[in-house]
Parts: sequence; structure tokens; C-alpha cells
Amino acid sequence: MRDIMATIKLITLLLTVVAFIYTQYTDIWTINFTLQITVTTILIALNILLNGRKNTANNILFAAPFVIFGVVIGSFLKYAFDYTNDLQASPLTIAINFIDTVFIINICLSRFTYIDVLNLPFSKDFKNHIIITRSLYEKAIPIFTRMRWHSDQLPPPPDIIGYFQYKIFRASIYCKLIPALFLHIYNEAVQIENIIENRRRHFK
Amino acid sequence: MIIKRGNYKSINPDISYYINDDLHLFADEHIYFLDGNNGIGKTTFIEQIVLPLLKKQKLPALFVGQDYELQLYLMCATSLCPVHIALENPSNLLQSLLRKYNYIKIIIFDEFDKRCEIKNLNNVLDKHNISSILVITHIPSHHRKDYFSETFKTGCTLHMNNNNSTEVCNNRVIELSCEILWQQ
Repeated sequence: MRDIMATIKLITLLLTVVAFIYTQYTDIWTINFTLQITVTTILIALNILLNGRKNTANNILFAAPFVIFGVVIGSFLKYAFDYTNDLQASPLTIAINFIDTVFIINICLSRFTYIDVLNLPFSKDFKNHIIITRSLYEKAIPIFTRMRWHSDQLPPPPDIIGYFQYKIFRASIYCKLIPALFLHIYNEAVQIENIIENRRRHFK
Repeated sequence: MIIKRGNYKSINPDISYYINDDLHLFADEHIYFLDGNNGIGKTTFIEQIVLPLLKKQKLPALFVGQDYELQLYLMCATSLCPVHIALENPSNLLQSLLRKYNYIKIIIFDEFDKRCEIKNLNNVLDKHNISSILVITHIPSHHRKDYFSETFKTGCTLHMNNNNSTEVCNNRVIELSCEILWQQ
């Protein structure tokens, strides 16, 4: 019975995410800016309620660089070169979509506990992968926030003149954040896998 | 850099820091040992008071935190130091980072001595003309001179004490005082 419940829960959550992402491609969503803002506000409020303020702040900080980059580059391409993408949506809508997607995944993932994963009717190896992915997703956002803080502490060279040069220096360090995060997460994945394997051997 | 006498608030609303006397930090060839009981707020003091002040005064300083594993890959990426070399010996990573950012003259270590041998650390500091360092450490005070007196002319201990008698608006007040350990 437990395995059926866990499967239903997983399918429901996956369908919710897929349906939400699908909605973002519909015309009703694309043209209605009020709807987008309302849904984003609801999702943020729901995340504060379910996962706390710190988690919400971390998610916003995680999404912020991508959103800013997307809006700036998107606006530049759209208005300077009259470039339109497949979505035909404004860069701001795409940025809102990204924030919404981060929050909807976060909310759905937080509703699917480790006990639910263990109850799933899958093989042990597959369940291991799900547990590792889930724990890494949970870790990635706070780790990224802290790494960003550390990168902000690296001092700029004293010969830097002006705001623009300073921003280039910071941007060059931010570029290294994603590979650093990837390496750290990969290393964590190997460690978690070893711990789980060790526990399994112990129980055998 | 001078941290003036007075009360300093931290992001944690329950903790504020009281500095008894004007605190002169990061003088040339000085090493500062920040010590105090576990959980008193040494790291918070560095992260929320010292580092913003250094930034404000545009003093190029490197902070190596307790979560070194988190910094490791970022440092490797910025200094182009291979990860296996950094993992082998953290002082190698520090060396390549200082080679890249050769304008850094101040370093703040948060319990780095747990990860790196002090002999290796001294070699790196010597090579790169680091003028001053601040270390959060649990090295016993009688060993500090033996370890660092060859590299630094002056050594000071910054004691962090929980002052139960002084309470401002129900806040925990941490007192910070300075004591000179050796002077050449």
C-alpha cells in the first residue's frame, strides 16, 4: 500500500511540475503580466510557509544572477537587433518563468520526503540515485550562496580604476562559480554514494 | 586599520561586541591570534565586522574560512591550481593563489592550522611577503611564539570574553581585548 501511495505522490508532483511548465508556453500566460506576477507572489509566499524564509532567500539569491543576466542580454537582443525567440515572450516574462520554475520544483521536492523515496517500488540502485539527487539539490542552493559570498571576499587589484573595471573583475570571478559548484557537488555525490554503499554493506 | 572603541552590533540580534580600547589591526609584520571559547562568535566577528571594514578601507585581504572545502574549488578555478595538488597540501593552493593575487598583503585564517602544517604555512607566508595575518586558532598560547616568531616580529592575542555583567538591552556582550605576546 505504501509503495502505491508513494508512486501516486511522485506522479502527482511530476505532473504538477510538467503542467506548470506547459502553462508557461500558453498564450494566456505569455500576454498576462498580472497573472505572472500573482503566481510568482503566491509561489514565493507558499515557499516561505512550507520551507521557511531562509530557504526562500537562498532560492532568490540563486536565481538572481541568471535572471539579471537573462533580462539584460534578452532586452539587448530584443530591442537592439529586434531578435525574437520561439516563445515570443519578453525577457522579463522568461525571467519570471525561471523564478517560478525554481520555486515550483523546490516546493514539490520538499513535499516528497526521503521516506517516500524508500517506499517507491524501484530497485535499490535507482532509489540510491534518487536520494543522492534530492540531497544534492537541497545542498546546492545554500552552497552556491556561500560560495558567492566567498567570491565576493576576493579583493580586486589596487590598480583597478572605475566602476566598470571593478564589475569586469567581479564577473570574471562569478564565471568560475558554476564550475566550482559543479566540482564540489560532484565530490559530494561521490562521498554520499560511498556512505550509502557502506551502510548497505553493513546491513547485509 | 583601527577598530574604534565601542559597541558593534552583529547580524545576530542577540550578540554585540564591545571593544575596550581602540584596536590597531594588521600592522606590518604582526600576527594576531583571535581566541575565545567555542561558539562565542569569533567567526561572526571576522565575517561581519573585520571583513566589511577591510573592504571599506580597500585593504586587499584574503579570507580562508572554516568551510575551506567550499572555497577549495573556487580557489582552484581562480588560481588555476590543479585540484589534486590542492587536496594534497592546502599550502600549495594558498601559494598559487598568492602568486596570482600578488597584491594581497593581509590574510585571515579561520582555524586553517587544522588543515595545513604550520611549517608549510610559514614558508608560504615568508615567500609572498605577507605583512600581517589574523588567525582564529586554538593553538595553546605558549606554542604560538615558537611557531611564528621567526616569520613575524610581533605577536598579539585578541581575547574574546563573554561579559555576563554587562548586558545591553538583553544582548550578550562580547568583550575584546588585546595582549602582546612577543615583540622583537
